[in-house]
Amino acid sequence: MATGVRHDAMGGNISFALSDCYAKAEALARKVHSEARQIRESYREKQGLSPDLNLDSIAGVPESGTSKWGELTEEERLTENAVAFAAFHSLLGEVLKEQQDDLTPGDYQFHDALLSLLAKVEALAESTKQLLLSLGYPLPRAGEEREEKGLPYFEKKKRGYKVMVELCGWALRAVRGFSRLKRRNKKEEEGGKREVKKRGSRR
Amino acid sequence: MTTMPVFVNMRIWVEAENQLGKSTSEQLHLDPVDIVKPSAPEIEKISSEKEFPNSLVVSWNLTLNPLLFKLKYNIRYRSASSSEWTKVPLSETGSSIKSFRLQDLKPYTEYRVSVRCIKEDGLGYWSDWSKEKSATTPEVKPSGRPDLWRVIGPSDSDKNRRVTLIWKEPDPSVANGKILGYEVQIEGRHYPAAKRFTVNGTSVDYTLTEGASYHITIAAFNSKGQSPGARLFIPAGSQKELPSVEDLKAFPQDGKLWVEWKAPRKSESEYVVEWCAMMEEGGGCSTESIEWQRVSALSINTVLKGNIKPLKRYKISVFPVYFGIPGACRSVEEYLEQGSPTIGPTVRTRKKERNGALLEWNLIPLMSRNGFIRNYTIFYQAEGGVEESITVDYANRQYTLTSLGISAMYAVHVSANTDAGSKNGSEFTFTTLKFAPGEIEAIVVPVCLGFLITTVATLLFCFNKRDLIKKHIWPQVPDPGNSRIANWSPYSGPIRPNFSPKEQVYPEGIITDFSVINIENDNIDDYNKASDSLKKGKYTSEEHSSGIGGSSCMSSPRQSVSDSDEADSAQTTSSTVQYSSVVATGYRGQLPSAPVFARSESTQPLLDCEERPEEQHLYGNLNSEQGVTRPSRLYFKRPRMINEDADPSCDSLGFCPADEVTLQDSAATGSSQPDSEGQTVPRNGINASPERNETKSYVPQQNGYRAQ
Repeated sequence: MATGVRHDAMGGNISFALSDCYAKAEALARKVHSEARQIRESYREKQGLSPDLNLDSIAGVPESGTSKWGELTEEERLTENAVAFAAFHSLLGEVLKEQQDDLTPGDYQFHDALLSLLAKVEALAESTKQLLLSLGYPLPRAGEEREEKGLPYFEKKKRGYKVMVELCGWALRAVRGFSRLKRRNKKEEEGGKREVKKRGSRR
Repeated sequence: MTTMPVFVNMRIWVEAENQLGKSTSEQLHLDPVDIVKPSAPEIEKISSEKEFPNSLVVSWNLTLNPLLFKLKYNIRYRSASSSEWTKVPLSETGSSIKSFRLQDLKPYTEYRVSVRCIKEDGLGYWSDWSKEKSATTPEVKPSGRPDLWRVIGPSDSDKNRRVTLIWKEPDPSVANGKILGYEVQIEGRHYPAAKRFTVNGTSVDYTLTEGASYHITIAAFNSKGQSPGARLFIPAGSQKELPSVEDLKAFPQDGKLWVEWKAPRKSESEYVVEWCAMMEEGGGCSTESIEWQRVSALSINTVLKGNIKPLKRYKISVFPVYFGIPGACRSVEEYLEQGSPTIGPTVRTRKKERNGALLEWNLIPLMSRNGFIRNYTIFYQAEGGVEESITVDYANRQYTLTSLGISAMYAVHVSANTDAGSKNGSEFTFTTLKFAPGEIEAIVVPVCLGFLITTVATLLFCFNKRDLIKKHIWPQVPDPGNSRIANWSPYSGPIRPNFSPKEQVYPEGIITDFSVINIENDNIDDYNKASDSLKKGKYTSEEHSSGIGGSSCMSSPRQSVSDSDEADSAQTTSSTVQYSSVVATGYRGQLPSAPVFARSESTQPLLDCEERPEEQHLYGNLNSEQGVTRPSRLYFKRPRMINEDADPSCDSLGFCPADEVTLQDSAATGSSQPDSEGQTVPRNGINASPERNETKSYVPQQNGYRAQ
């Protein structure tokens, strides 16, 4: 009887820790989303791109749009997020370098904003991986190193813009995914507590 | 025929003839026009246009008359630095052109061009390549950035620090022209205005505030424009640094110095590797001697380019650079090639002991070390002994040799060992001590202390027992002044009750004054009289003592004498009883010569004012008896023995001297001598030890008494 209670208490602790993680990850994803949106707009202005630019030709940027988001399992969603954010981590680094070197040299404020976003994206990639681990799912394999091809300036500009657009999309997906996980975890926690109470009252 | 006819079929053969015969070749049937090999064209000029830095226009001339044939050309070109020719595709020069524009050339590069030609229909042979002509493409603004780095100096009291910006010229392939200078822009993060200035060299010093951060941009410029900027961020001094690389190590390999590390957490960094030859221990790299190179983000090792010298210690530092922001640096020291040191360590003894010594040696200066010293080997050899050695870790430059011989001479030298060799230092000889450092003191001090203690103890003992010692050394002679005989006078009553009353009356002549004697002559006359009478006296036996020793003795013997005399004189009525005699001749036949006072050396007379009270006490009634009017001179008069037959040990009166010394003193008082000793003698307690003698002396006197 006693062990049963203790087990539940432990489970409660774990789920409490997990809900904490979900909450943190969700908050981070929200931050990334809002910052990415801001930077996306300023980027477009600085680079002089029109809002309805067709970005489909640009390869190498993970695309966030999908129609099957609701049908994916939790594991799949988390895995895709992890892969995407890892890719964005390196992509954003390249974008920053382009901006510093060629496209907007001297715009130190813009660069600082990009740097700060980069740090957050890195953190988001890390926490997504940690969630995968704590839920017992396998980690995705590290992506291959992409070659750095010398793109012409205009291509660089467009690619940079696409990176910002897609990053916004992926951040939004992450927010939705984490909040869903959080809600489910809360339900489990409450259910567990009720069970404990029941057991307690039976005793 | 000077020229070959063309457009006709010809038969051509060769005939060779020499002295032996003639030979004829086959015949060729052809139209020479088909075997034309044109002469090589001549490049007239190669022109470059400012507006087209990637292109050159080559123009040539034909030596051949072009009217006869139409030719096509082939152009080849190469950059002056390379040996590979690039041929312009034939399709582009496949017509009778006289010039051609070369394209896609690198700006500001020297190119060599040559041309050849062939008949346009392709029949015949290509001509030889024309003579090369060279030309340089025009300049264009630089397309590559300089490589920018910095050395940050220490902060001074005003919180300013000197920052030296160092950079490398862009590669000639991207310089696109002659670099005329560099434009430096320093922008403070919080300062609105940027500082811009031009620099000719590849380094510049600037003083910056420690508390602010700066963006530095440097662009190279040539005649055509500026290169893209190289940027560097200098964080404020208080800003937390990005993490450094880990596991940094350097090692020589294949004659080159390799550096290897592990990436820090922020993996998108480039790296900058600095190195310099160290001049002194713990020294850093000066801006003049520093060398550096940039390494791309994907590497984790590099080989140091440049001139790395063997036997020199290099300090290698690696910085991660994260989007233009340098992180914390990490350093390592290494040699390309180690050797044995140039000079060896100088050893000397710091402290010598009885069978050991503490050795100390110096640190070889860095410039002579030629390697990392791993350990030291101490070689030591006793005179005539075998050489022994011991190896010591490099950290301490001291070592204590133990189990050496006592007071033996040793020769010692230390060798420093690097990874590649050793070097012996100079030899030092020393001798171990004979006694341990504290041994001599340990022996001498206790001995002295013991001696001192013994002396003190002895003194204390003597002091404590001083009375006893005094008793032994200076036995007390009873003061005759205290004796009863001193108080005796002929007219006084008998002291002993059993004496006959007759004894009270004594004839004159024998009156002797025993108490206080004045120097007056009348007393002396008395003395003489007395002595004369005594000479006639009948006291010859030793039993009759006359109390020569002291006045106290006098009274009793006087008494006894008188008694005996009385007894004798009972039959006679004469008054020639002699009771005592004053011997003017001195005691025991000794003349009262110059007084020999063994006791006191003072020849001063006794002072009345000072001594009288004591004397009264000591001498009893001496003064009062005599009625001394002369206060100053008080003498102690003692009767002398005339008889010289007396027992040598005793006087004729039977008075045995208690102590020769004492009695000698008393004997000398027959004359008018100052008698300070008379003071001392009785003072010492006449009643003390002399009384014993008195007792002794009295014994014979008793015998002398004649019973009545």
